[in-house]
Amino acid sequence: MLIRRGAPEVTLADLDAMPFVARVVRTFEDGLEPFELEIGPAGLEFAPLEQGKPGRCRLKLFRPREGKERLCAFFYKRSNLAWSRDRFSYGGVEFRPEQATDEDLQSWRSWLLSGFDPERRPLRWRRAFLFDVPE
Amino acid sequence: MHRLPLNPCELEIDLFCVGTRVDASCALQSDGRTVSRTRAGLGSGLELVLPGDLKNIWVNVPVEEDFARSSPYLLAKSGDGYRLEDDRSGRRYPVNVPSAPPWYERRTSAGTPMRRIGVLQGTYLGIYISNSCLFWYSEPSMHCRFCTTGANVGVNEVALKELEDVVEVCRAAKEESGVTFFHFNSGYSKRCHEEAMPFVRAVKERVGGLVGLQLMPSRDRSMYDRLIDLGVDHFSFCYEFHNPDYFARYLPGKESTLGQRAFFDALEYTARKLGKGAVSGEIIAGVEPIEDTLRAIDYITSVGAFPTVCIFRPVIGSDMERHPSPRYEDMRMVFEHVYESCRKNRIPIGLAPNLEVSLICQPDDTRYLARSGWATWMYEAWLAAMRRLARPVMRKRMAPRVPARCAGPC
Repeated sequence: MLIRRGAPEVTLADLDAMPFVARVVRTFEDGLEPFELEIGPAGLEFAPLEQGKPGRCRLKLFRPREGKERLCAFFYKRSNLAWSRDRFSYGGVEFRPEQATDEDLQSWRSWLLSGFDPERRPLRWRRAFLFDVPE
Repeated sequence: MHRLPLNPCELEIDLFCVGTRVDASCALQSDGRTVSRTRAGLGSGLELVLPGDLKNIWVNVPVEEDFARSSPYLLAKSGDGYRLEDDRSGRRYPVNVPSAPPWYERRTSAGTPMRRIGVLQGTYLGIYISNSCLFWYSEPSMHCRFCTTGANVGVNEVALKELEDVVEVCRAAKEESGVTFFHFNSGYSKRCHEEAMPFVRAVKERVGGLVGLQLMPSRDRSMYDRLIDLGVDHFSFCYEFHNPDYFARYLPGKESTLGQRAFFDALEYTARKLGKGAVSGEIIAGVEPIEDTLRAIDYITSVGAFPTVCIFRPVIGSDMERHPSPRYEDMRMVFEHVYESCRKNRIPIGLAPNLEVSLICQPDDTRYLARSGWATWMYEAWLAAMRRLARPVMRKRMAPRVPARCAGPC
């Protein structure tokens, strides 16, 4: 289940026009656990809902390098402090869209739901990156 | 649960164990220091000062870890003051929120943000000389399982510190924040002792103050002799766990490259060279069995060092993030033992001026836990005399040092 919110200029039809993004959205739609999907200029962000509100675990999907095909699935926790913009990185996966299998997408979803259980890290997971992760 | 009000040291211990929630009434962005994830991650909390009769206690309270979300404590602000409210007892504890120093917002002459060079952790300045710990870059990674240093490299801190940047920040911290103690540490590197020498020399000669080093142990004893000649006042050795099985399990890098014995050897050697109370053995309480922690405290004090006991914090993002935070009752027992062990071994505690460490419960803080009686009274009288005797020595060490001769790379 997905609750969508975010930039009004990005329509769901736009997302559906990108086959890989549509696959990711479908993966998070399928299943009983509710997620919030935030659509922003820098990418998509998924957060499992806890008691109706987005929890602190997040998956951000974005393109790290302008003009390149590769995408990054970045996992992080938001700060407990309302005023803080700190992000606590749990690493991520850099990939080419055609490489990502349904199992990969499922593993991202279940890792997010597990609260980043170190025993359940996704395949090709890396702790650190050399590029900036957009806000 | 706690029926009687907690004294400042007990409150400190409880806060380390359970953290606090932060109420919307707080204005910490303007009133407090920023939450900093520098160094191994232990400083990831909120700096508070707990007022007390014997002394004020500085504590870095966990706020970002998941367990802090269910803490019984709530930090709230009313008027100009802050207080901690304990849901279990309804008690309210007044606390002070130390402000961020003005130099946190400034840059060095080279343009580096000063806060990315060093951070105040209590009243001392902590500087990670180089935070690229080699344990993080082996395959498989051999980093200590409680640590998040590798995740902070180049993100929250400048990876390699420039000497001039460090001198400028130390000077600002001394002049504007009254810092008396500069603590340098480093991750595992084969040349960490040589790399530390120019920093020690520069701070001793151009700034003045007490300098502490926290590095991996060296088998080459002459390293320590050279560092002491340069003016190092304090060494600390983080061997973390006294139980060898826990040491091996949670510190795979230290186990395979150095071994626990190397820490003991360095601790004993430097304690002999610098005298009682100048060197510390640093351990983590709340992971290995309590009996092992008590044995560690006895061992450390028996060689003339003081125990630096960190209450285990399952730091957000670390491999041990899901390990439970310790129980208050266990930790109180540990720190009561710290006082008793320091007393029995006549370890001089609390001699350095204006030295408050927020990341740990200092031996000096445990005076609040002392059992009343003749033995305690005698020890306290001896400590008071030692403090008086130490004053001229400390005053001298606060002044910049006459340049030392050094044959090595310094």
